[in-house]
Amino acid sequence: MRMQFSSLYELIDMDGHGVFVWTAVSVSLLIFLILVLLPILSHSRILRNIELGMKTESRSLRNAEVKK
Amino acid sequence: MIRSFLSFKWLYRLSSPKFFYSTSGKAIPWLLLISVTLLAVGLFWGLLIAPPDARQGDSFRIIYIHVPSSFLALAGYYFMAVAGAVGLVWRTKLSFWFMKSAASIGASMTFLALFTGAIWGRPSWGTYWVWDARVTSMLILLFLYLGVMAMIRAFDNKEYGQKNGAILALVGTVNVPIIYKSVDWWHTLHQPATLKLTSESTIHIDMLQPLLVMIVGFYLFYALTICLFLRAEILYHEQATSWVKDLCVRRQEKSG
Amino acid sequence: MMHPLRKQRMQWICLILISTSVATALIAYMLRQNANFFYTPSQIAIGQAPLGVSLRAGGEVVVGSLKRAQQSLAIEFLVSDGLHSVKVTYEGILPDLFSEGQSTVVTGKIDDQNTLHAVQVLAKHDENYTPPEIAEMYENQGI
Repeated sequence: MRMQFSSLYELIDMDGHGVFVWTAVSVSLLIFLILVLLPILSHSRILRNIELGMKTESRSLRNAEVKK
Repeated sequence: MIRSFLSFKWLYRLSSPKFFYSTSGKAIPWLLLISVTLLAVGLFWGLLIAPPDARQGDSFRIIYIHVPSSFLALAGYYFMAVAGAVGLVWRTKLSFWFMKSAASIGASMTFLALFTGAIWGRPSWGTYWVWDARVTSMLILLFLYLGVMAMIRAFDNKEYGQKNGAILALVGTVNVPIIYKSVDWWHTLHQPATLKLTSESTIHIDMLQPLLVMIVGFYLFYALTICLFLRAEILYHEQATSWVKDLCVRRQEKSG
Repeated sequence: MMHPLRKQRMQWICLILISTSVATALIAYMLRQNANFFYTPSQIAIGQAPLGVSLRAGGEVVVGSLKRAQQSLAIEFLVSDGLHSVKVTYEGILPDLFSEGQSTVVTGKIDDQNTLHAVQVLAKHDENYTPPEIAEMYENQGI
């Protein structure tokens, strides 16, 4: 098992095919990143909204008790 | 133990949103660790160590993304359709949410397969795009995914939208075997399958090994994203239930 | 003003309509492209292919048939399916993988001399992937 490329330039250039290979790789990584971040962000947003709703709910409950 | 496994009780338990939410929460760190490791190893192996192809040179290395993403695009369509069918028959909420998550992820995988294919086509075929049977049927798959996604969101009555989405998903399964056999049925530019179930693969072992690593890595990454999407979906739909509220209270207590 | 919820719903329904109609149009287009407009060199040789209509043909580039012009990018070569061959002319840049003995798919029109004037020449590669050393070894063994 050995490296196919002896220098960084050779690795990036890939005999002129580097443009194609590295574009494919970078777009794939970008899509993978989006696929992970998108649900994590929406998960924490929903959680925040629920907690916000619980806070206002308990406050209005307290207010109602004070009025009594 | 075996009897309870065979009675599908575990599957029934897993279809409870609360149980799935907590179980997948424990699985996510492991799925993330293993899939990222496999993808990193597979990419390094495929891009730097595997030999170039005798005819195509280094452009063949796109195979390490193109083939796994195509696999998941096709398999993911069946996962989505089966979940839709289960939802239609057993009326389990979780399977509809699974279908919705699988639609988004499958559409991304199909786009990736088409995009990497186009980029690979330029150096090997001489064109980015050709209206070849394989490429066109894959494009139809992308539109089917988008159609299911749109269908689920198109109606105020969520249940109605989910049912329609499931029906569209099931109708669209016709396309999957067409994609698979398109290279044999029509005179296409796309080469026939390299990895075969019934006979020996037509790829050298040194090039095959990193490809298999990438395929397993893609499958685990798919499982990871399904868990992530499905958890957000569960939290959204179950926010009025007591177990989600308990969860939030415990979280607040933990953070002080 | 449309109710925002209804407007959103309308947008989704439009997206469904567009995507399903695009899908059906693509199926129809693919079937036409592949079923009616692909001809083998034998079909062209016996006159089954229409003249002056854009069509596709495919086969192997006959070894020793490739001729390049001195001054321009014009080339001509024979495409064969094992039984008959057809003369193809083309002017333009060829894909890297295009060479004698390899498969090709060409798009163009046939004239009354049964010569195909191609506007696009694509290289078709097979499903085999081999490292250069192994391919060389096979060649030396005459496989």
